[in-house]
Amino acid sequence: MNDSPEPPPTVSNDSHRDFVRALARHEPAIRAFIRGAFPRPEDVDEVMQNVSLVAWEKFDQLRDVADFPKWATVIARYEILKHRRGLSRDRLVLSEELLDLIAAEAVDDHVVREHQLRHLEACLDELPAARRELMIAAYTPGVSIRELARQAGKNENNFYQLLWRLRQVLADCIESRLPNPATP
Amino acid sequence: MNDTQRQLIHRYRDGTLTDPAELEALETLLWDSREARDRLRSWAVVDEGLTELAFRPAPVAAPTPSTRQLPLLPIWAGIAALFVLASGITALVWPRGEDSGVGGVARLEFVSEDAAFGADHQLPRESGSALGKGWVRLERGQARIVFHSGAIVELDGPAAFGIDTPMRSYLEYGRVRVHAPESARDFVVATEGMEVVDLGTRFELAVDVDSRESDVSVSEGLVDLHLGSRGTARRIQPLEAGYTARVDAAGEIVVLEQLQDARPTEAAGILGHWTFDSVGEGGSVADVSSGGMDGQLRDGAPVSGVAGQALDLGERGFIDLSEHAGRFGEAEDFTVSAWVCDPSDRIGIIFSLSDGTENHRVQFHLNRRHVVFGWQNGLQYDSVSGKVDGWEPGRWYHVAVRSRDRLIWLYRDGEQIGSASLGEKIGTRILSLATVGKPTEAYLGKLSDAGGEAARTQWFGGKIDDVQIYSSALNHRGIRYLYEHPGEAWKAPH
Repeated sequence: MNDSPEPPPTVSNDSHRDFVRALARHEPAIRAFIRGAFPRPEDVDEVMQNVSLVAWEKFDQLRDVADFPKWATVIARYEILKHRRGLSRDRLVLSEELLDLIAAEAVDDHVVREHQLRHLEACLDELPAARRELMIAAYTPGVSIRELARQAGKNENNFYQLLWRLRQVLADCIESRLPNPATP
Repeated sequence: MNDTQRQLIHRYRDGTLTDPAELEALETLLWDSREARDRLRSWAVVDEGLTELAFRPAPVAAPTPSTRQLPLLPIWAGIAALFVLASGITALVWPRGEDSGVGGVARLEFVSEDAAFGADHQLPRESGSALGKGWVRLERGQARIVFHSGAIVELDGPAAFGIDTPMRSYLEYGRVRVHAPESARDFVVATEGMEVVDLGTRFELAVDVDSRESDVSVSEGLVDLHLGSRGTARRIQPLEAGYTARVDAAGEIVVLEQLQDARPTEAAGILGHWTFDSVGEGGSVADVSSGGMDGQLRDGAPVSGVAGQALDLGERGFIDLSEHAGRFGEAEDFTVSAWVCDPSDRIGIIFSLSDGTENHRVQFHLNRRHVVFGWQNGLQYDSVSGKVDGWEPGRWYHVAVRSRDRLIWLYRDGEQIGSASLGEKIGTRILSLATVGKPTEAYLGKLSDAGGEAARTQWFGGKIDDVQIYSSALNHRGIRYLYEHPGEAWKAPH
């Protein structure tokens, strides 16, 4: 048995660059993971910010940068729970235990999320132009759904129904483009 | 999964769930169904992807950022920028933002004759020019920029002002005056130590070129100061008209002071004043103002109060003011003030006004840790709250809510504990008494359930004294006066 201690992890001169590259590349899928817990982009921003800071602080503990997405997603899982604890009790947010379940089930699906995000744009292109623009407008910060509904000549409830249908259409389209796990 | 269940998830994702019972139903569904959890996650990916696409700028040449500060960077870009600077790499990074294409982000509406721009000014200099992202370096003179959101920024040189998106900008140094109409609500001017979020108002902001200290003064409406440098946990400090704050580069408030009352004190406009010093035969409760809004006590008992006699409303006592509901419903601005003791452990309703359905109502209430003003317009309930440290048994507290131009301020014992221009839960506009529609029910100590189910009706559940309702928003001095002079009404000085 070899009793010699494991050599301490070292930070190479390139580690800053590696970190920035890894974060820039994988941030969208990590954000999508966080979004599963918190619907509001503001919460996602805050959690992602904390994930970035923790990931940077601990980056020298990561032995292989190829493991970054999973490693950072695990950090995100804990930051989600931390963020949940800090939220006002008045807010209608899922319980910490349930968020943990939702996160735990998806923590290993980073690659799937990357595929999903990649296909989203193509699926969006399959929508009629007016629907495509409407979906983008609905997600633009500061845009009021009520105002969009008014512009579209719909009442707010019907407009939400339309958004929900389109969200489902996009999700189904993305799903259909993912590789079938049963296929060798 | 059926349609109702799917809609529950959609509504949660859109932030339109308003009823805790719906959240409970959603939690049960998610605990029980892997399919529901999968759906929630796949829709989350769609949401995030669309948010990213909505943010993505059009493929136009990015402007050169300031060499001193990169405002509003996405997280990775912020960290990247630090490394870029540290490693001496001269790559340029600019924040993502809304489309800065042909129409630009803003328009240069006016440039004074004596204006001069610095050598590193990046944008057109002629009046009427479209402005994309980039830095305005004004060495002297004045310029007026109209953002496509409708926000108007007047700039006094010398100043360095960064234009990012129709809703975001950055003041490195210099002085700006900002007016954000309704279309530009939430317009942001960031500085080194904070972000000033405009809630439909006018304010002035100056940043010192050396210390990076910011002075912000509000002349109309309300702003939120998101204090703290980027990358730190920010805290929010509302700042209303008539107040000025100095904030250092680290985001700490150095000075916070009142310059003047927000608006010349209006006629106090008292609608009703109930001291409860005497309860007439049959439970009649006198309005001691000249308003003539006598009420009817149901199930309460006189006790010693903070000034004279009070009422112990027990578990289900209340004062019925419904015959005057129409008069309350005329008040656009208002103030509700009350003294309370030992409120219910759950929700203690002080005042409610409704049209007889739960879908159109306003309510002023307390819970264990908050003073709350809530409203419902249609199916969505929203509220603004001020946090408190609980309610000491046997102690009388003064609580008040005032509303002007559909902004809300909440107080306990004469101190402001909250303010807002939008609901905290789902961001809807605050309702005034006048926006309830055709109110038919008004109570002190009760919120009636529309279906008439006693189990769902809410009460105050404690002792109450000296309730006053005004058809104007008293100023801070007025609220303070009510706290310091229990039993007396506020009379505006002339």
